[in-house]
Amino acid sequence: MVESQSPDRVTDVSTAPARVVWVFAILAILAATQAFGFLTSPPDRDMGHLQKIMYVHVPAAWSAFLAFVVVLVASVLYLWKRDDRYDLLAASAAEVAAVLTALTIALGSIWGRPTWGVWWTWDPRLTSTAILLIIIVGYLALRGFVDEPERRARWSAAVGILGALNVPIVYMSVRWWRTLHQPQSSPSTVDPAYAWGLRLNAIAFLLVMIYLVRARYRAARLERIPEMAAEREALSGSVKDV
Amino acid sequence: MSDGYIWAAYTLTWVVLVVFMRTTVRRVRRAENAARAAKGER
Repeated sequence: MVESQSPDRVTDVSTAPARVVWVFAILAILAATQAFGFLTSPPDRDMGHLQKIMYVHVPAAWSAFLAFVVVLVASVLYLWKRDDRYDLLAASAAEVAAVLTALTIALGSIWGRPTWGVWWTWDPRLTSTAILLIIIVGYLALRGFVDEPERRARWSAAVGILGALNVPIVYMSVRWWRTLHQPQSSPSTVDPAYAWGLRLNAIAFLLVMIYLVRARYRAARLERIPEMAAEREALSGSVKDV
Repeated sequence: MSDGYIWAAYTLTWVVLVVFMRTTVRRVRRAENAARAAKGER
């Protein structure tokens, strides 16, 4: 197991970053892109103004998928390099992926009620997304149950890879099976009137996702410093006892 | 009638993102303080 000993940009606590400024800047961008979507998109022929829910539901889903990609890459790198930092990165991305996946399902449910007439149905897209959420919640629960760090990292990397491999199934489910859900929304498949609103909101959600993964990874790295100090103290105490 | 669903979707989005960002910022601040203490920079 490789453990970084020297302070780096992530664990350097001597300079406090302007965290709040970043949070407000990202939220301001999100508000601006949502306002753009509201002001520039005409009502949809079938859904009317309900189409506006696309600007939060679809970007939330894409950001969740990207967070799963981070989990996949970091988990594979952990199994290959056995570096704790990849495990912490995977865990940070998994926390964000869990929240964004739950948000995607909730927003889809709110959108589904007036358009399909139901809050939930066992449709392939909805079911595969629910399975994705269960896997990532299981990943986080597993991390809480296993105390031994090396085993926890190995097992959670396996579950993280399994969860991320479900993402292409979720994405393609609307093509592979007969489903209530519309085909994948993207700037190339939606009406041109909605394309820029979707693009900009996706960028804003991407910024939120990147900020959250980075900040939580930084916190996870910093949380290791007192743990390592306590371990060193315990080790030196036991050596003195001998 | 559709307005209520749109409001619900956007309100939920903002509540979830703001709360999650807020807890993240607090976690970073706590971790920084603990790390500073462990490094002896009290």
